[in-house]
Amino acid sequence: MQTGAGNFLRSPPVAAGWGVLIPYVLFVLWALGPRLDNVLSFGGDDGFELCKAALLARLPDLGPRMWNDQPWLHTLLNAMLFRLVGEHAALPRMFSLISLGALLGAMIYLSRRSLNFAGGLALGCFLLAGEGMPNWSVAAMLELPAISWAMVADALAATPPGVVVRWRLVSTGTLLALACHVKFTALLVLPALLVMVWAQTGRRHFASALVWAALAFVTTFSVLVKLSPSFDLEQLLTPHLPASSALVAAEQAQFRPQWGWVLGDPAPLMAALFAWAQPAIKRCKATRTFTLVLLGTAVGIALCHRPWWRYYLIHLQVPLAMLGAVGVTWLSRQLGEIWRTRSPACHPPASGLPTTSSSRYPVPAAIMGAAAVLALWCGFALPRLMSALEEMSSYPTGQSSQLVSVLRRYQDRIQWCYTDLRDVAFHGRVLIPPELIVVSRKRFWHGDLDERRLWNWVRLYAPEAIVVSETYRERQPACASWLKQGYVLCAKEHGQECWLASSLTPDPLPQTEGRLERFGL
Amino acid sequence: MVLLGLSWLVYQWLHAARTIGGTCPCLGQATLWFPWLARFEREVLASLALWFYLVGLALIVVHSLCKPARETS
Repeated sequence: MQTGAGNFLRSPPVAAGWGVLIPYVLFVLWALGPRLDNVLSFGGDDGFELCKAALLARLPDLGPRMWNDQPWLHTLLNAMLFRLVGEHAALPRMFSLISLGALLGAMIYLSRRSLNFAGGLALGCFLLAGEGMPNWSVAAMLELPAISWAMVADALAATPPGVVVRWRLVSTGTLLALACHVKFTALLVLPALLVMVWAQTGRRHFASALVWAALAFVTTFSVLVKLSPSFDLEQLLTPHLPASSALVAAEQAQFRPQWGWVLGDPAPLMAALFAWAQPAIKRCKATRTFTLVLLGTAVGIALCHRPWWRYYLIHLQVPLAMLGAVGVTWLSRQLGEIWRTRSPACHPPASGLPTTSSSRYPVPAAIMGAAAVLALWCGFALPRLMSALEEMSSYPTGQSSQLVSVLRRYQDRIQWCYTDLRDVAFHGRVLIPPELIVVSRKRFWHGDLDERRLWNWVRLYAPEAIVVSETYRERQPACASWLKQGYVLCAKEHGQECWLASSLTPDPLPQTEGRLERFGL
Repeated sequence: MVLLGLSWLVYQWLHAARTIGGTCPCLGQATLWFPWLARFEREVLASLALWFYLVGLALIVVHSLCKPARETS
């Protein structure tokens, strides 16, 4: 006789939850440790977020002067944590890990009627082994937290058909507003959310459901606008739109999706094909429409929007992993039936292809399909995941960097540092001037900044430390002339140079050439 | 058994090609028609070998399940 607890643990959504926990917990165990705090950078925008939060934690009054093309919530939260427990890169990185867990939970909840243990396990494996995913899961970046909390907002709105739960809709609106204040790309889930709510509530209750969610959204959004140091819509939107200049538009067009990134992960694509054999996904209209509309929106943006950054791949990976997990569930149920009934290999039906008792699909399709999904995942995703983890384990750390150690030695006497290597500045515990933290391509594209204006800012702040690459210094006369006027080269590593103001009386970098000549070499 | 043997052959082919040249020109002209294949040649062949192996193994298991069923009937 089965107990109630036993039944609960064997119920499909709980089993799927246990399944997804395995890859997630393994990844968290791998990620947690000193590496999370010490690694200089896990991704392109890691340094931006760390430096923005550090500046806001130490000098909150300078927040409005910061050039920031993203909403402030993530930065505000990190600045608060930095003030409470110290400036540790691990804090925002752990937030990304937690957001990943929330994303997996939301994905399981949204497809709960179509998943079993194997489906949950596949969902975790598909998502975590996706192109770039291991990096984004531990980087202090905005894309993953934004889409994660937007998906949690969607999961809160998922109810049985015909049921309208007011508190759930209010929570959805609130959480979606919070996700939008992390990054506006969270709004990508909005079409899927609207279609799902429509499919659940029907035309009769749709308007009232929408009003509750919209009210919560607008209220939370407005409160967060008030709390933000600045809210300049032009600065928040324009840098992400295609540029008006034809020359810049041509450059932006190079930032487009490479379909090799999607085709390089064929296991979820193959498994997604089997999702249509799953009776549950056919029954569950809301889940089906949500996943398909989300995938459609992500594909539409990938096709039409330029510049399209590599981390937007998450938007494609999420619905594909959901569909793939449903396909794996169907395959695992078919295999289970073969195991239980010993059919059809033992008792093939007289007419044509053998079939299982409850399905019109031929059994060899289930065996070959399951083998294909497993083989493709092991052949494509697993080696990529292992090499990504190996590469991430060998990323340079703050302790191993000479540039960081020089900055740390003089950190008390350095008020400002100018560098393109934000990760080095953060780990060296020095601040970058607020206008120069986010010096990204977008600013140059939209004419907000050029080299002349950039070096005018540098002259204005007269930073005590400048870290630039040797090639940049040689190419930019403004940089070379400014450095000549009272800076000493103190460290050099992988072509990057650390120059400190002579007023700090720093130890200059030993001249190797002179030493070699002294030894007659 | 044929499938298992085939998977072993594909694996050996792939292994030999990697050991000799670092890359595997195993798919010939197909890589010119589909550049994606050239980029993922190693992955495609490894998946193919594993797929053959898994299907072979599954068929052996399925047929071994039949024996007791046939005996009882």
